[in-house]
Amino acid sequence: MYTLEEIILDQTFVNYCHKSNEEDILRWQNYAKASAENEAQVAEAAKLVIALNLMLKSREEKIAVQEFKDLVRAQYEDLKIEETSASVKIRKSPSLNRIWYAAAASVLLVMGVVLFDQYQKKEKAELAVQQEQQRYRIYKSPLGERLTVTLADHSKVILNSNSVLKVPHLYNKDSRKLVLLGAAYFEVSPNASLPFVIESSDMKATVLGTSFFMRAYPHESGQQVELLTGKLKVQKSYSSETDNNPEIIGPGEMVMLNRSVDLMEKETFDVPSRESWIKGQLKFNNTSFSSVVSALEDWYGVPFEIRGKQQSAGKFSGTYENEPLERVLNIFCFATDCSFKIEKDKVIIDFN
Amino acid sequence: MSELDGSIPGLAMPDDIYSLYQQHYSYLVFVGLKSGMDLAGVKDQINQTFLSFLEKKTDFTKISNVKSYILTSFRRKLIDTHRLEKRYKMEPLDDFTDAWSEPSTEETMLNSQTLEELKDKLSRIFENLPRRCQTVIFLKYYEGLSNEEIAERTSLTIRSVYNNLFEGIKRMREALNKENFNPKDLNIFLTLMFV
Repeated sequence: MYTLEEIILDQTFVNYCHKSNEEDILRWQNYAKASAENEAQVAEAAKLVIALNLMLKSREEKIAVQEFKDLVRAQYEDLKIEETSASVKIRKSPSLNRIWYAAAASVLLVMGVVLFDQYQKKEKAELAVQQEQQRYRIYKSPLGERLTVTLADHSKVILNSNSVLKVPHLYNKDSRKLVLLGAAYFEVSPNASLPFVIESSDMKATVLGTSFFMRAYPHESGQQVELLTGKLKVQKSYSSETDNNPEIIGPGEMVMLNRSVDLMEKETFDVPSRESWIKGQLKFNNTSFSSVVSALEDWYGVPFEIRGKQQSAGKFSGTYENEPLERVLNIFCFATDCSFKIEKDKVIIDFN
Repeated sequence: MSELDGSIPGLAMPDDIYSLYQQHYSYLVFVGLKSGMDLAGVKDQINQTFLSFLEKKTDFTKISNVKSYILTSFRRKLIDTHRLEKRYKMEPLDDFTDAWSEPSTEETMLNSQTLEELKDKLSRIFENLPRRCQTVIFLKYYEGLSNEEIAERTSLTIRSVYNNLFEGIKRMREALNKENFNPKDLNIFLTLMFV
């Protein structure tokens, strides 16, 4: 005789409820047959397990649809921001209008010119938005989660958390050029006649068919590109006064670039740790609090702000696979007894 | 969401697509998990599938069998990913049945109204459970992971996975009992079981 909790928690019973294992079905049918009491127990437990599953399903559906709505909104957010800034510009002109109303005809003429100029600017801004819209499909990953994108040529992109990838609609037609703000891993399908070019604010990498990782967050000063397979040419995407020569790198090599000091350097990087990044495996092995924080900053591409002081000097161990930042922080804060808040451009850890 | 409606260029009936998304989500997750992908990967593919509907301005009113159209598009996305990554188990297409997953016998046996009521009650109770109980319960009763797998995923020990599961279930039952336990419910249910 089991308690109801024991039955509900039993894996074989869950299998019985979902009819997923012949042996388990038989086992619980026999248990139920033993007495009326058992039968009632099994019925009650099965009802709970099934209702629990249905409840979690509809809860998960609601969460997923909300996430999807956010994703759709994020994709079009960039365009909306530009639209609003354009309309703000126009709204200014009527107030200017009132001041200038009493002025002489010559001033009116000037105003006319100014307004015409404003009008033209507005036209231009709208045109730019339209052109942007026509030219690019914009992928934006939410803060704390990755986005996997498959391009028209079957190249694969893992867009890291808090990143933007702009893909021209004409991609793979006459060229393969992309723009990246943030970090991403690329597995480029080979095509010798159409070189694959990825450009960030400071650097530009050209490949034919390789896999590589690029990191170019606007909030960080350094940018880097790491090559896993094939061959890659990297150069500054701005014009340097001292040196504009490209670097060619091979597997296991990386280039770091810091525009503020105009320095580009070739180095090697730790391939296994990048490979586990690609798989989405975040590992901590007896890691200190501060190292965990900097690893998370790095992993999710977002700065952390620590408020208050950490009390215990505990170390952390654990493996996370493709977990959104929120889930990792849930566990981390559970262990360190702190609270967290994910804001638009940073994460706050609070010990108070 | 009202700010979104109509204002997004190239969006055909966003409300429509969201309700389609919600309707088909669980089944697509089921199909995706079967192909050996993890939940996060499956979600990605579902999102990509529905994003491409938006991009292509798919008009669902013109599609006779919406369910199988969505399923086919999703499978195609999965196959593309399979082909590229080659790291997931390859399942031949025939293994996916077009039929929706049949509700289990228990489910049909149960009075669907009492089940629906119980589900609503559980949902309220679940929101008030401690976070760690919610997490382990989700992993066990939604994703169907074993205690060992949950321990790996959450970096808790197997012992504390069990304890948290136990605590969560116990609290749920207590709350259920407190919240007007109606013996009639059980009677109706039992009669159904004996039929």
